[in-house]
Amino acid sequence: MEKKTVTIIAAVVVVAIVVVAAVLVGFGGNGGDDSSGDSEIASQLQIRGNANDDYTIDDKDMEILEDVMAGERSISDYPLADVNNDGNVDETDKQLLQDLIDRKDGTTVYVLCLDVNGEPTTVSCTYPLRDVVPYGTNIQLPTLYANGGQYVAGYFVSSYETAESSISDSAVDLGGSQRQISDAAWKNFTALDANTEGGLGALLVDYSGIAQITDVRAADLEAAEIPMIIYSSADAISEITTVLTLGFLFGGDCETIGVEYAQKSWDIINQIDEAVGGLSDDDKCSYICCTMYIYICENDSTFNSSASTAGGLPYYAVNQDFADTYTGDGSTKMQSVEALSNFTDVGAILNNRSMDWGLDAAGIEDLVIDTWDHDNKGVSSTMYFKGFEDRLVYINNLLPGAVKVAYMAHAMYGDDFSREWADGVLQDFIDMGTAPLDGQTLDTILAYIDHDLYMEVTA
Amino acid sequence: MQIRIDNVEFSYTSVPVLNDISLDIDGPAFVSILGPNGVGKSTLIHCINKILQPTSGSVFIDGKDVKETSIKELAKQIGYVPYSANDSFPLTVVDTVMMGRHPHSKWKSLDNDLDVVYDTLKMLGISHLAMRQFNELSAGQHQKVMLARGLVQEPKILLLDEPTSNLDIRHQLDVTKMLKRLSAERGILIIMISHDINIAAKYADNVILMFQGKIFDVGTPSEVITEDNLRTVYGVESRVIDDEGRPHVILRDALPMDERINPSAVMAGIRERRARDRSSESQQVES
Amino acid sequence: MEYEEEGLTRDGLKEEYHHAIARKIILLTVCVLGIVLFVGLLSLSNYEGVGLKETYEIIWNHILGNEYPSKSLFWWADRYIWNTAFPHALAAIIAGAALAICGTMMQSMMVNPLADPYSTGISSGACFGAICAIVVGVSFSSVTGEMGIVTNAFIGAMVPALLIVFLAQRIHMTPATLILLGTAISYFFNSMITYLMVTTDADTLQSAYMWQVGSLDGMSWDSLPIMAVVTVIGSAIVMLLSSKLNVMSLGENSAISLGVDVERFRLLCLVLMAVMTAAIVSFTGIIGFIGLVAPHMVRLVIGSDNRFVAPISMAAGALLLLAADYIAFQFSDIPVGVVMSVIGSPVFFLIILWQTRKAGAIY
Repeated sequence: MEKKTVTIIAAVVVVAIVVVAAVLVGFGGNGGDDSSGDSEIASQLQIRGNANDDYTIDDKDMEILEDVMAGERSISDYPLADVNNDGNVDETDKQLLQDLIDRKDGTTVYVLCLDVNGEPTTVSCTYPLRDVVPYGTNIQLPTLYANGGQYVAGYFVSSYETAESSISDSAVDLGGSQRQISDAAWKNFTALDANTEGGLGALLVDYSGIAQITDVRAADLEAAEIPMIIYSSADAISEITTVLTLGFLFGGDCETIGVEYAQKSWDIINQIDEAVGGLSDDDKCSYICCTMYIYICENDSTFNSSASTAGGLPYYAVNQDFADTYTGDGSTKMQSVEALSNFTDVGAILNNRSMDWGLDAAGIEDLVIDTWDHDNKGVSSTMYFKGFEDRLVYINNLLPGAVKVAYMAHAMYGDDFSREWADGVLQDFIDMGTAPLDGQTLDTILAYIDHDLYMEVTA
Repeated sequence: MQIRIDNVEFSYTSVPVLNDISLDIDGPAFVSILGPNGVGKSTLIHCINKILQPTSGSVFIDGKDVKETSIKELAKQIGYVPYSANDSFPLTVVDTVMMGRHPHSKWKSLDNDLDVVYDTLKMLGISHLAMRQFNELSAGQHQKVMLARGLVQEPKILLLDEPTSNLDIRHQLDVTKMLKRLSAERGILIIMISHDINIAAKYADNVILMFQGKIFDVGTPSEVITEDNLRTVYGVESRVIDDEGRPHVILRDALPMDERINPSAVMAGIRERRARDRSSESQQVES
Repeated sequence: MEYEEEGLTRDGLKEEYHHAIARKIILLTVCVLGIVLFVGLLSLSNYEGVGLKETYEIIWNHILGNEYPSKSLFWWADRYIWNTAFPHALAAIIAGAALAICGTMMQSMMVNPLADPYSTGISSGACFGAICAIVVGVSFSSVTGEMGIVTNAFIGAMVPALLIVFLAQRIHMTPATLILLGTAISYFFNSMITYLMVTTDADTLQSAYMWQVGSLDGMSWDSLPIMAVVTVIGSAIVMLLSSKLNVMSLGENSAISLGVDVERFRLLCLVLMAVMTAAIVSFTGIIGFIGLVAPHMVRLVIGSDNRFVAPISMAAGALLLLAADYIAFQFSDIPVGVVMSVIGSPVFFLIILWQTRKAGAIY
């Protein structure tokens, strides 16, 4: 062959390869599952000894501790170098940290969490954490997402049979309810402690249910030396930290899945942030969050913070009347079907509902209709959202935080984040091997309901 | 002792019940208040022992205005036997009668009170009923218990509102006789509202006849219980005869209530008939 | 006069009278024993292996100061009994006693066997105060949180009472007027309560409703002192006044003639009863029927003499509430107010029926 021809063919082949590669890579930008663990895990593991405030405890933390001991770094910059929370960094801390790095059984680990008043505090327990009792959906699900179901010795209430099926079969039903731990249920809890070899490992409490831990019960826990670890994990980003921390505490494959969970979650969050985080407020999509069908989430609600993570602009930033009416951190029932009528310029209405999975096609249809057209004491939900049907979506609140955020991003920025992409996020979490999603598929979980789906189902 | 009633008036709302009553009652004595229904007899009594407050005027007991006497003080002096008893929370007879000792009760007086109660029950002939439940008694026995309760108060003045209306004739006589004797023996001023004109006439020292919220007549039975008085106040035609120094009323006829009948024509007819009777009587006497 | 039966002698009368008193004391003893039994039953921990005998054993050991090994079953049972069951049982005793004696006083004072401590609108006032705190978060005092609900309820309960006292200076109050006024005030407060409850969300609604129904849950040693002090002082006063209450129940006219200033006495009783009832109800919610039924049950056995009915009804009321609490405890999650109504109404029904067969009146 002539040299010219060979050169041309070589060039074409190279270009072709480059183009193909570019196409392959480019496709990944809008729905591919090639998130290769690029993002930094921005969650801080809530364990003392995590001196560098990253997502794990390793030799990097030991370096910092040694520097602090040597005086080269200051303890006020690296407070978690004080592993045993005694105010200084010394040999004891070093020994403890080494045990933690080695993941040694029986180590006393100091966990950062909340106290009964919601203030940050430190609670000590034994590594690895076993025989726990969770109270509150917002801590029970993260426990299960960290594959901690096998270490649950008892539970106060389990409302979602399929989603919570990973709770150990030998776990004891203590007989509480969603809103209350009765005296009888607490007695069952204490009896469980008496009957558990070595006593219970910890009581995990969701802060929203803290009122049920009365002074008497807190005194019981203290006297019996049962650690109480309190987290407020309703918000997506807090949830990641909780799963990460619980995973670490449970140890072994739980720690692994905790890290994977966090990694994947941050990948999604960063992906969303890259696409829409830089938008000016005028270009952002505004949202109103709802829950329990017709309750509007107040300005400081955790649902709102999740939606903001998804790139949305809270509606109270756009409309002063809304901001004034819905102050607080809980939710308010819509006074009438006209409640939303003054807010017609909102971009999306993100309604949150907890829906168990393990459904078949008929079950999904029924659930869609029941959710969209819910009977609120004689008035259908559709009446409340009249005129907003194209902007209203329901998102399954039991899903991992990042998955919910993904669906929220799809709802608000459909052009950037397609439905397939969001479903793909869910599929990733299923594939990850988290226990609650074990055995589920996109067809057995009702993750997302929009008007199209409703029309499809009722056609 | 003396009860002075000074220009007392009483009305419930705008309807006056007692109109400008002024009266002196001296004791000890056995006084009977007579009059038809609704004439203000009970109201007058209630004004004396502060159950009701007169809308104007005053009542003085031994010179002291009743308004300035506390209810407790008054209870030590004035006893009261009501017309009917409350049945909601019945006690034993003993406990019921013991209530009468309340104004005088001290901490340690239980046995002493029991003695007084027992004596009174015996006097009224109902000591065998002592431990029975009050609401298991007959109406007549009820009244005797009420009477006993008033008596154990050991009062200076005793007010009774128809105390014998449910008793049989034997007991009516016996109780009234006993009251008269008590007023003399113990020096009590007994004021009794009664419907039985004859028994009142037989035993009372003084009679107060009331009519239309006013005092119609006061005096000894012979003075007050006359045919004319009875006709005006009670609206009955009667004949009053003398029995052992006391008037005795024989009822003849009632003045008609029926408003269609012309009363003056009826009155004329009645007078005519009586004139005829008297003339036939005098004829019989003569012949 | 001739007698139909053999009369009693003076001494015979005294003997019989003292016998009657002895009977009453026996009833009191029975009630107290019942209370002790039920305290034991309530403390029954349902911890496996801890039965009634063991429960009394644990209580005895605790009094002696003996301790069990930490975190063992008996250790937990001991904690439970002393920190939860005991104050709970004591609260039941105090509340039952207070409500019963208020009922006794109310019935004598109003000369009405169907009166109870709530007849003057106190209960709806208390509910209103509590629900204001629960639903709206409005506090009538500077206290907030759990105690805020209690103080609100107390203030709310005193409003109808003070209103009636104020009106009593100006108009002539008969028992009928009092009860009618109380009913009118109840209607008013109930309508406000309904408004608040209708406009709130499901959770708050449930808390509000649960408060109303009356329960002894969550009673700790802290809530007891106020209830106890008020009850002790209040009932001591009532017992001192019991002979006057006897006189009141004869009817207004008779009472005046026997030296009792009826209107003033009624006001005094009203205020006393309002304070006692409010003190209890602020902590427990509206537990009905004890004030109504306990005095009747006692009167069935020992008659209507308030000098005995007052203290014994306290014991009976305490026993009744303990029994109801024990039943509620078996079906966990049922508030004691519900159980009280469920057993109270047929009992009351039966009392009325049974008595009407025996005699013409209610007794």
